[in-house]
Amino acid sequence: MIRPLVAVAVVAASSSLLFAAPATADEWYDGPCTDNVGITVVIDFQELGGGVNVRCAPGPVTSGLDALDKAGIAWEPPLREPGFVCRIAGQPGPDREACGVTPPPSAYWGYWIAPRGGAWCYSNMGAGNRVPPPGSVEGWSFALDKSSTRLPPPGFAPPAVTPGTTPNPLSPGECSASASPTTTTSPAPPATTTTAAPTTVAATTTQAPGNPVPPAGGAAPGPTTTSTSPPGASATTTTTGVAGTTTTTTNAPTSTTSTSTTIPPVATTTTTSPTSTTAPPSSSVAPLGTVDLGDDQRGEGGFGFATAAGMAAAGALAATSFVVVRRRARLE
Amino acid sequence: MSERLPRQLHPGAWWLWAIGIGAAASRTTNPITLLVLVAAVGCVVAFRRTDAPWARGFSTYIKLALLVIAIRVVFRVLFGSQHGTTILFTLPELQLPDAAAGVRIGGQVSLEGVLAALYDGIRLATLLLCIGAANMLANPKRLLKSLPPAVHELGVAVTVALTVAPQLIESGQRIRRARKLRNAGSGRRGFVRGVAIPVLEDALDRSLVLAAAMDSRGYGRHDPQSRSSSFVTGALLLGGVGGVCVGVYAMLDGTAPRALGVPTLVVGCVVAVLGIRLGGRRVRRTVYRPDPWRGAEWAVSACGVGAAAVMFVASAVDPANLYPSLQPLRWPELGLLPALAAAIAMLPARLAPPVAVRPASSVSRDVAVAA
Repeated sequence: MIRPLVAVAVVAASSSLLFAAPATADEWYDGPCTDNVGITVVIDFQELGGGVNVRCAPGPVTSGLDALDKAGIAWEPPLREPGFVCRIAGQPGPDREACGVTPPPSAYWGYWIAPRGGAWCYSNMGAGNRVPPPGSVEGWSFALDKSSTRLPPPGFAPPAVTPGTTPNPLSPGECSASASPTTTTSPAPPATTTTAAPTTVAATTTQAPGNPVPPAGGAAPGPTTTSTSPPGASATTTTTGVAGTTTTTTNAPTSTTSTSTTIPPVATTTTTSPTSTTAPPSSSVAPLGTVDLGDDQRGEGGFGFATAAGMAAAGALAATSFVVVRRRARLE
Repeated sequence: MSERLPRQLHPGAWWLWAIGIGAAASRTTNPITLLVLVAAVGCVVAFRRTDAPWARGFSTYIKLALLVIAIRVVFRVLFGSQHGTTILFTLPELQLPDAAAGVRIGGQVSLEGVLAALYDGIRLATLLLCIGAANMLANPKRLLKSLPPAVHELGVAVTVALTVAPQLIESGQRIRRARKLRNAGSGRRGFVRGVAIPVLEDALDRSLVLAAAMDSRGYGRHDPQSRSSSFVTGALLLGGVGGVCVGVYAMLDGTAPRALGVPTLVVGCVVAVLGIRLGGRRVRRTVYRPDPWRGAEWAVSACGVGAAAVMFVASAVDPANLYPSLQPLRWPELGLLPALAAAIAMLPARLAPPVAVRPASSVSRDVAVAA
C-alpha cells in the first residue's frame, strides 16, 4: 500500500513546478489576426451561452490544439481519451458533461476550418493531428442535438484577407467541399433580428482589443445567432450576446456560397455598429462574447489542504491495516 | 459491541458490500479518492478476515492491481496519442503507413497522458481489489449454499469462476511453503515442474473431490419434468439474468442512456424471480444449518450500498472533484462526500462480528506439510 502512495507522491512532487507555471506567453489579442501568420480562432458557444468570441493566436502553431493554447483559451480533453476537446473555457460545465469519455454526438465541440476570406468547413482531421496553414482561421462551434448534416458553423464568417497578402489555402483533403455547410446557405427571410436595446450596444462595443471580457455572472440565457441572406448576396450576421449585451453587425464576404476555398473575397469588411468608429478598424469587427476564455472555471488548484488530507487519510488507513496484519501474524 | 460472539458473516453481505464499493469507485477517477477507498477496504479486510485458506493473499491482489496499473501506463506511453503540453520524454517514433493514420507508436510522452493512464489504472485496480476483498472475506462454499435452489447449477459455475483466483493463490502458497520445507531452490529453473504443474494438479484434484462430494450428496438430481417446462424455466432464467446484467451495466455506466437502466433492470429482476420460482419447484433441497441474515448482515450490506449512494450523489453535486482536471494539470482533492463514502465503506471493520483467531493456525500448516 505504501508503494503506490510513494509513487504518486513522487510523480506529483516532480511536476509541482509545472503545475504552477503559467500556460503561455500572453501575446494573443482579441479580434482577427492582423498578419498572415497568426491563426484566428473563433469560439461560438451557441446554446451554452457566452456568444461568439474571436481571438488571434500568434503563429506559427503546431496543431489546432496548440492554436487554442496560444490564443490563451482554456480547453480540456476528456480524461480517458485525451485527443478530443471536451470543454472550452469550462463549457459545458461538469454538471452537463463529466468529460470522462468522449462527449456524445448530441453535444460536442465541432472543429471548423477556413482560409481567410473563405467559407467554414467541417474539418476532416482532429485538431490535434492537423497543422493549420499560417494565417488560416479555426472555429469551434458547440453542436447541441444537431444531426451530422445540420451542424452549426461558428456564427462569425471567416474574416477577410489581411490587406496586401495572399491567403494560404487549406491542405487538400482537410475539408470536403461538398459537405461543408456555410453560414449563409440557409434560405432565411431577409430580415435582421436585433433584440438588444440600442442603449446597451454602446456599452460593450467600445471595448478595446486586448482587454479580456469579464466573465458573465450567474446563469444567463443563451445567445441567439441569426444568419440571414439579404437579396444582395451580402451576408449579415447578427449576434446577440447574453441578455442582449453585445450586438455587432458585420458584412461578411460575398463568396459564402462558393464551394472552392481559394477564391479571394471581393467584399471588404465594414461595420455598421453605431459606436465602432471609436475602435481601431482592423479588429473592431470581432463580436465579443461574455466569457473569459482563459478561465476554465476550476479555480486555482494548487497543492491544497484537501489534497494533503486525502493523502494523509489514505496513508493512515493503510498503516492501520499493516499494523493489524502484523499483530495477527505475530499471534499465529 | 465488543462482547459479540465471533461468527462468520453471511457471504452475501460481504459481496453486496464489495460490489457497492466497486460501484462507488467506478464513479470517479480521482486517485486520492480511490486510494482512500482502497485503504478503507484494506482496513476492513485486515480486521475481519478469517484464517480460512481463501482469506490469505491480499498482497497477491495488490500485486495484480499494480500490474494492471503498470500495463495501462505502459500501453498509453507506447501507443497513446499524447496531447499534453508537459512533455516528460520523447521515445523514438515508428513511422506507420498512411492506412494507419491516427495510430502512433512512440513519440512524445506527456505528463498529462501518463497521469490519465495512471488515474484510469487506479480505478480499475480499485475494482479488482474490491472483488479480491469479497473473495477473501466471504466463504465461497457458504455462498453457494445460500443460493436459491433453482439457480444452483448457475451458482456453481459462478462460484467456481469467482474462486479461481483465491484457489490458485492458496495452491501457490501451499506449494511454495512445501518446497521451502523440502529445501527446494526458489530459482527460476524448475519453476514449471516445481510450481506450475503441482498447482494445476492440485486444482484438478480438488475439483474431482468436490464433484465426488456433490455427487454423494445427491446433487443434480431432481424430479423428472417435461421438456417444455424445462425450456420455459431455462429461457426465463437466462432472459432474466441477461436483463439484470444489461440493466446493471446501464445503471452503472455513466454514458449509457438513463432510460435503458431502470426498466431493463426491473423487467430482468421480475423475469429472473419468475424463473427461479418455477425452477425451484422441481428441486427439493434442504440446507443444513443455513447462514442467518441478522442485523450485522443488514449493516454491512447497507454500508456498501450507502457508499455507492453517496458517490452517486457526489457525481451529481460536485463532478469536477470526481474527475480531476488534467488539462490544465490540477492536484486531485479529496472531497467531503467521497471522504464520507470511504468512512461508510470502512464501518464493517467494526460492524461485522469479530472472527475467531486461532493462536496457531494448525490446519494450514498441516496441509502444507502434507503437500
